[in-house]
Amino acid sequence: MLSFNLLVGVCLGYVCLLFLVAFAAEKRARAGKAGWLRSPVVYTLSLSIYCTGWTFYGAVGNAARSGLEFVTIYLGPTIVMIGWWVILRKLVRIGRTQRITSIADLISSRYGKSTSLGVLVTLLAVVGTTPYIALQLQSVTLAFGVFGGPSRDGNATAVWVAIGLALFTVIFGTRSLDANERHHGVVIAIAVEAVVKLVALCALGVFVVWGVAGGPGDAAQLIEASPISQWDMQPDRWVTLTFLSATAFLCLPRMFQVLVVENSDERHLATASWAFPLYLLLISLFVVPIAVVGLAVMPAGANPDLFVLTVPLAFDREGLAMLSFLGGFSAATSMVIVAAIALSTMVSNHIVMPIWLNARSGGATVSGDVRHVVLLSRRISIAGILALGYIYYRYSGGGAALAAMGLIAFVGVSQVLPALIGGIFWRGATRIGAGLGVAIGFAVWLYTLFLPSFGEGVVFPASIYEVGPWGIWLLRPQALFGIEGMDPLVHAVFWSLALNMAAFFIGSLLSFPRPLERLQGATFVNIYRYSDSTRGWGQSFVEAEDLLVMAQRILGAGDAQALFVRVAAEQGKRGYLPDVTPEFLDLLERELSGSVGAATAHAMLGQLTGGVTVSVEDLMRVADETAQMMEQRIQLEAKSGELEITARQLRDANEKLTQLSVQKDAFLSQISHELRTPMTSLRAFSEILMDSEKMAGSERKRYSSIIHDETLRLTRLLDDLLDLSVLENGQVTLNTQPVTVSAVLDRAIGATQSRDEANSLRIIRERDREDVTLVTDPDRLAQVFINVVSNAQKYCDAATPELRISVSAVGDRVVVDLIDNGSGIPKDSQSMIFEKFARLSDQRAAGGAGLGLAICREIMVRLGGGIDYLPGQGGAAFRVTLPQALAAAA
Amino acid sequence: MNDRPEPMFLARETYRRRRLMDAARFLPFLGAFVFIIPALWAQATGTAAGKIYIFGTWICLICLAFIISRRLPTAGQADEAEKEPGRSGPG
Repeated sequence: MLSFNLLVGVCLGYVCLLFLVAFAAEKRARAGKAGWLRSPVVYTLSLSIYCTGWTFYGAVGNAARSGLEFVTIYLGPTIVMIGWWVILRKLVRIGRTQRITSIADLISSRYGKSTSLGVLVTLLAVVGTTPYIALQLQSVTLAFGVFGGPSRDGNATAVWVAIGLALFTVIFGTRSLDANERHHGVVIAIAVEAVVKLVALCALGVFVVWGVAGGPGDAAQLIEASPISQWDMQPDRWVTLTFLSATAFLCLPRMFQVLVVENSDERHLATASWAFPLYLLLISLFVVPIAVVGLAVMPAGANPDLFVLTVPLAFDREGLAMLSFLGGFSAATSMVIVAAIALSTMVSNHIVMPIWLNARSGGATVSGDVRHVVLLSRRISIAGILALGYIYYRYSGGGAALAAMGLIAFVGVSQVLPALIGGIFWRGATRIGAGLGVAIGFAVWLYTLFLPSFGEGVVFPASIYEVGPWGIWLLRPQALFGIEGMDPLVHAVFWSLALNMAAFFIGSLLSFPRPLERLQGATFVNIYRYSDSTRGWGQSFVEAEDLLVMAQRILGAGDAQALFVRVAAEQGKRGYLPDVTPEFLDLLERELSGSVGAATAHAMLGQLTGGVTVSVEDLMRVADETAQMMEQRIQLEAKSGELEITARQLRDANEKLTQLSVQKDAFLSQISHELRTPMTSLRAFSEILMDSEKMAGSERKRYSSIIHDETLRLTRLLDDLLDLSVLENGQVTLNTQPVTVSAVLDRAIGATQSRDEANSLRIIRERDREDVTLVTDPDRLAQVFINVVSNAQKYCDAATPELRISVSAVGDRVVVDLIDNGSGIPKDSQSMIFEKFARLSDQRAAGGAGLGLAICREIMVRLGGGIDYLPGQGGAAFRVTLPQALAAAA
Repeated sequence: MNDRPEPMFLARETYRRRRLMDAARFLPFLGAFVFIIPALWAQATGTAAGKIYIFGTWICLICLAFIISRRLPTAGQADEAEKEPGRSGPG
């Protein structure tokens, strides 16, 4: 038999080795040669603290009791790990960008850096982890008991183990206030322990399968012949346990510590996604054979939780037993160390620091190094947590089966799940909802599982299980709402998480988050988009010097000064004091939160800056930068649309102007020509009259009448010009009176028809529709019609020219269309015809100077209507639009 | 939120990367599915056969996770892809 003293000696030697490894790793990391210390393999191995002393010993015990059910504890984490892309990657990214120090910090930070939520989650974690630590102490003590015999005092062993663990944790877990909360020494030590426990279990498995059973085939036969040959599965427990272990893998404070906080590179997750399930598979591969062999060779009544030790001892394999013992010892110690670190961080950041800050209301400006306070509070927390674990172990009797205690702890920490998952995937999750959910889940867990776990009559009297508290039958702890017959664990998981989620959801729906909460919510949920930080601080009026004083106390003088100098340099300033910009405050808060947690860092900065933090306006401005960009883009688009329209108008105008200028030139030559022609003939004929004394009377008369006609033409031209100029300047007086369209048309047609009987234009009218009474200036209107009709007479090129006149009333306006059957006006000239001096042809026959339509347009504007060219009518078509009654002002 | 107009179709390489990310998201559901199946038939099965099923599927899942994690884009590329609206992406 292995002597107890030898065992203690080996154990101490092993612990010394771990100290050395951790110390060497710290030294290397400090020298900046972290290198392989931070490899994916080490990361994967560090995750193995999931496999604690409970799983090391308890898995075999569980297998001996209920067959394959033990494997659910490994299937859940496998599902989470292979699904790393969905949840873990996001958690790690959030943890890295937001400098998250623990799961309580994550929850608190997500829900607006809430101190109360941090406290709640911390309490939950402490209560949920204490039985777990007790479990590890128990497993180590039991293991010592196997070697030392029953006479040894188990409590003394537990005390020494607890003290040793506290020492190790304090030394390596609180060496420094690392900005990222990474503990190189501890991580390497637990990686070594991970290898030891895997090797130990595999060695024992190989021995059992090949050494005892005689090969895999024989081992299978042995399983068939064993009491657990039938897979006596309870489907509800199977599903619940798988779900529970997956949940616990995410929510356990120590798992969060190694998964997220200690993660140094996101890509390590990719490796761990398959490597860690492989590790779990190897750990559980030999559990059933060991259990089966143990059941076969050990006497009835032997504790199956200790088969890992007793089976090799039964075959006198003391070396193997020693290895197994070290494996179990590793599993227990690594879990306790990491759990203590994680919990102490939480306790110190979320409970001690806020209290300390409040107690010294002078606040963060008081000089002096605050780091020793943080470190001291962590060290005391570590000792306190281990003491709690010991007390729990001492007074819970240590009799319950290991696995049961572990599962109870799992359910407890799982209460964080809705707040955690909701927080990173649902922006609508609020602080109120999260607080309610966690608190209610916690209470239900305490009531239905944790307190009953002490045994009937310890906390609750037996009557409560029978008739419920105060006789309320519906509230029996293990049959809530009268639903009986459920497995107590399934019952507790079901009700605690169901009520938790309901409270979380309803609370979130009905409450309204504060601005900071909404900002954090958006940042967390959209972490891939906002991987650079979002702004949490508005403009404030704090002195940089005060900030430096505070930062020095938390980060240490050197680091703080280096940070300030760097920021000042980035701002283009020399010296230690940068401008206090919101960006700088954010950076500083993140740096501080790496040491003391988000809520505390926020509170400390809040004290200095007078609590000026993000306002709704800031939120609107900052959180929805993209929305702003979108708005800007829409505005830009609208502007560019406007610009395009303007440009098109300008282009049109320019074109018109160019044409007009060409026209004007043409007109100038035209008008000089027009004026010159009558002038020339006037001069010529007046010279003839002057020179020829003896001219016949008839000759003289003829020449005089030519002169007369030419002066008439000149006068008409000048009249037109004058008319146009009067109209354009608005100096015209209108003589309005009621008149029918028909009468005006009659007048206009009468005035034109008489001139040229030969080339007569047939005019088609619809007299019954022309009987519309207008209040307008009939003379001016007739002038317009005359112009249009005479244009048709002059230019209509059809063989039998026709002009169709149709009158219609549209609303309170009268529309007169005058459409001829000629070839119309070419499209590119349509825009020109109403301009002054526009003439489409050189037809001298026209006789006018191209002012007719321009005058028409001006008249129609004065009459409150308009005249337009109507394209697509099969000929030249003009539409005259008139109001039925001219406004009095016009 | 992201209002950058997204192309209707993607280049072959980007398309593959997106589908691989889909596969990574799907994997945990596959895992949950195969691990829940025993709840349907395990009462009538022996431990040895159950063990073969569990460990067999377990190894398959590990292999799938290995293949997918090896091919998945590095963090930077993944971010670019994630930034696209509607993470399921255009088909």
